[in-house]
Amino acid sequence: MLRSLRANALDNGTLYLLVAFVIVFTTLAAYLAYLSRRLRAAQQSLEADAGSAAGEETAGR
Amino acid sequence: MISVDTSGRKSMTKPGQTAHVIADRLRLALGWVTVLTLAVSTGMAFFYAPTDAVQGQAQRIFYFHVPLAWVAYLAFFLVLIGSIGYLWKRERRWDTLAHSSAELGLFLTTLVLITGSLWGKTIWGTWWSWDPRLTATLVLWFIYLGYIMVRQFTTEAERGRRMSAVLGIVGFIDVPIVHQSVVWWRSLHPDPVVLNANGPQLPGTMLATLMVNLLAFTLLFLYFLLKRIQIANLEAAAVEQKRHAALVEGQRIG
Repeated sequence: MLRSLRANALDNGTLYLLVAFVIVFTTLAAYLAYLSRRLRAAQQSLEADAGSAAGEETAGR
Repeated sequence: MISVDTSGRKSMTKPGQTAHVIADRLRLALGWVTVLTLAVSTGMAFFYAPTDAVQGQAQRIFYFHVPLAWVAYLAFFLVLIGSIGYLWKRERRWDTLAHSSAELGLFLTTLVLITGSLWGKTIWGTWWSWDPRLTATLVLWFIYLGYIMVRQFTTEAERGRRMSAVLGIVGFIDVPIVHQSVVWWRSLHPDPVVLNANGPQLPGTMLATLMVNLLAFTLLFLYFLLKRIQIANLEAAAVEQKRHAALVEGQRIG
């Protein structure tokens, strides 16, 4: 692959291969980042709700 | 004390001492194994597999395109299982499996279409052709887009779950059509090279590279799916907690 890159410069096939690689892996990384952010938000929301519910229960007593 | 763990499950013990810690660690381990396998598989795709004599470097797109298509099929199969399970048992966990898999399947099919288009531009000289395989894949993409939209636009959540489950079952019919389209109709798209009636039609090094990539993308799919299910469970637990808090507040005022 590297030898071919050096020998033929950047032919169309190599260019489209690199574009495909970049699109696939940046999209996968972006999706992972989206899932991680959504997971963190859900955890924080659950913890905040649990905290306020405990506070209300204490106030109720 | 009843607490809700990071998976949204209710537990009777303190958080940090329960099975969810093991589950979190297993998920983390799966993540690292996936990263390692992906690094190896990508290295093999670029440096180990030989350059195709006819297609040149563009043939290497195949090592991403085929595994993405395989995990998309797997995702839609899980949508089918989850949808049947939900209509039969009416348990939320089946719907969570189906919904999470559908979202992932749609995302992966988008990548399949993009990588296929890039390969087509190099080999066929066009970004798109109304070829049976490509058209059936686009139809598949629209079916699962419809699945997601049905859930978003139905005002009653239970009705949305039921309607999407029906769509998840009916929509799966397109998966074997996509796979067999190159056999049933005259197509520009290459025939199956692994699941071929005459056995795998690839040299050993190319087949090994493809298999390692299939493993890597399957692990990645499982990792994403587990994370997506964990999010769905947490969000459902948060809704449940809010409902419970509103009930307690109502009783206190009443």
